[in-house]
Amino acid sequence: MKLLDMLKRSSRNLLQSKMRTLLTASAIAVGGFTLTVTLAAATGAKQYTSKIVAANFDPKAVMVAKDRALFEGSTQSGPKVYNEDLGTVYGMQVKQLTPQDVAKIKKIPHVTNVLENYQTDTQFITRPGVKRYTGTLNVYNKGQKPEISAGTLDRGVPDGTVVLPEDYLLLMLFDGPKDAIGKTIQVQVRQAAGATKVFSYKIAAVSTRSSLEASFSPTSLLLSSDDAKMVNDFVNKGTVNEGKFPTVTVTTDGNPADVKEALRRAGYPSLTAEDAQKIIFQIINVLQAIVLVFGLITLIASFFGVVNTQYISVLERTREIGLMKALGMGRFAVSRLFIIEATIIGFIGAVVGSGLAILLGTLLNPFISNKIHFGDQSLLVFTWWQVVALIAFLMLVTTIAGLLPAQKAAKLDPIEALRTE
Amino acid sequence: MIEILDVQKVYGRRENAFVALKDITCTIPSGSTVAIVGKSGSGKSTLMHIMGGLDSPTQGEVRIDGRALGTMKRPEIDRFRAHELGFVFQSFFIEGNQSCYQNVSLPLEVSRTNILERKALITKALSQVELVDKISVKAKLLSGGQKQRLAIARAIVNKPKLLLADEPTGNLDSATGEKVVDLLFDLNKDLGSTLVIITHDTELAARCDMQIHIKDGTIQAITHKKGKR
Repeated sequence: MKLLDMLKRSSRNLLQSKMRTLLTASAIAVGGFTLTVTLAAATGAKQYTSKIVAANFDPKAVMVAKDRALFEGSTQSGPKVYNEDLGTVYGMQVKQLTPQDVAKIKKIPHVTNVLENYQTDTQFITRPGVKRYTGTLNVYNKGQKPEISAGTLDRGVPDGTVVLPEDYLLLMLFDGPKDAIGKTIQVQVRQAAGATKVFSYKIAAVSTRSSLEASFSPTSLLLSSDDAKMVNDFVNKGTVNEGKFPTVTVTTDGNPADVKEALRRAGYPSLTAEDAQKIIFQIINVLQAIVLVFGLITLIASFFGVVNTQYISVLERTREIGLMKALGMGRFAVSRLFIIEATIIGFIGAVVGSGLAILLGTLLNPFISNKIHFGDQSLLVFTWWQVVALIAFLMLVTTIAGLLPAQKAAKLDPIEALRTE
Repeated sequence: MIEILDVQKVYGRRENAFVALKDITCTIPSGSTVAIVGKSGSGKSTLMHIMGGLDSPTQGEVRIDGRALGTMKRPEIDRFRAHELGFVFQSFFIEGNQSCYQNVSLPLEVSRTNILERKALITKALSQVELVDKISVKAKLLSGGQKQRLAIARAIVNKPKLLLADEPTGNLDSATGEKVVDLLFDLNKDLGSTLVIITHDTELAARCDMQIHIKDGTIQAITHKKGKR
């Protein structure tokens, strides 16, 4: 029998038992739906991650520390041997970078700039006529692209200015973001010994909440490296942290991976934008694998469903098989007829499942993105080749499921088969 | 020409062995009409299955136009059945949910006949059994006689050299049965194909050129119609 004839006969058989075909295919569709959504969610999450990394990390930048623990997020396991470099970061005693380290790092090839990352807690932030509010100071670096509702970051953050989060606008009694630009705020900091000092900054820009800006903190003011250094030097005077900083951001004009390797040889652990992305991707991959396994388990159930349906189909059509064999249809052709039927069931199920997933996903995407603060990024991103590969995979699964019943059909003795009334 | 040489068929083994056919030897000339007559259980169906290559004899040989079926491989026998053989069964074995066209199309699909040639062949076969006006009617809507005629159309669409009919009138009333038999004999004349009918109807058997009487698996007598020897 020719392939086209087989396709016609198989489809006709499937149409004749519509309900059974549909129910078997729907089992496959459930698996197809789950797998399509899983793949789309992972793609969406990765796209989102890439956007976050692009918004927060300069791809040419490398973050350098002296203590690996800073990147690994491990907690302190016990007392350490004293070292002049030791300082406290997030309550952890870690080796910190010193100006000598910065000088060393600057000599590494392709390093164009080294920016110290200071983070300082303030006592309070205020301006004349308003209450005092808490806040922290962070260094603005060029890799960051905070979303701005007023002012400009075209020239970065010049000395003596800050980027103010929008949450302060109302508290500081500004009439909207534009009103705040050019106004002055006061920041008071305090030394461990008790001395306090007030620094004044002009507001250069107002930052807004963004779905992409991971480092956006509603209480974090961004200022220039030099200003941050002045504040930091004052606050840490006489403490173990004096003149030290946990990390520096290195700007390169070459391959960040090469710089990272050079830094490693010099004894400094570092993190590139790619590394940061890899860490997040790994988490996504693990989550995806877990959901995929569940999808595959539903597939195993539908696999046996197809085997069962096809067995019944063979039994029901024993006489027809006998006739076809009596008419000279070979074993191979008979088995192929039934295998094709199983493949078609897989195709229907896969197309229905994936189609439903794409339809629902496309309809619900704006709603989901809104709920989980994804901004204009979609959670479910359907990739055509993934969908095609999935449909092919599901067809392969049902084809394999059809092998055993097809074998039974092929082995039927035509005389026996024709005796059944 | 069909040569059946010393064919024996045994089912089961040792103490359960049952001899269905024994010492069957006969020759059927091409283009003739042959009746295999016997009671049920006499082995006549088994003989037909062996002639059609559906079953193989335990001993002996069947030669069709000089080719021994026993030496042919399975795909070869399949090809032989697809191109040179037509079957008509007592209970029709037509697919009720398919149209007459689709039913008759099956042997052409099995024998991989060119799609473009099929339509003409099917129409011709259906007109030979006077069912061409039912071409797109579902087979289950036909009467018993029409169903058997449809089965005959399916059997002759490939223009077979050998037509095997197993009790073709068994499920029909005598008037309808007679028409079907007339049709089979007409086709035998028109197509020149050998017609082998299995029957226990002596009247029908008397119309054939040759009668093979079987009892308990052996040939009792072979008789020939007058002037046909």
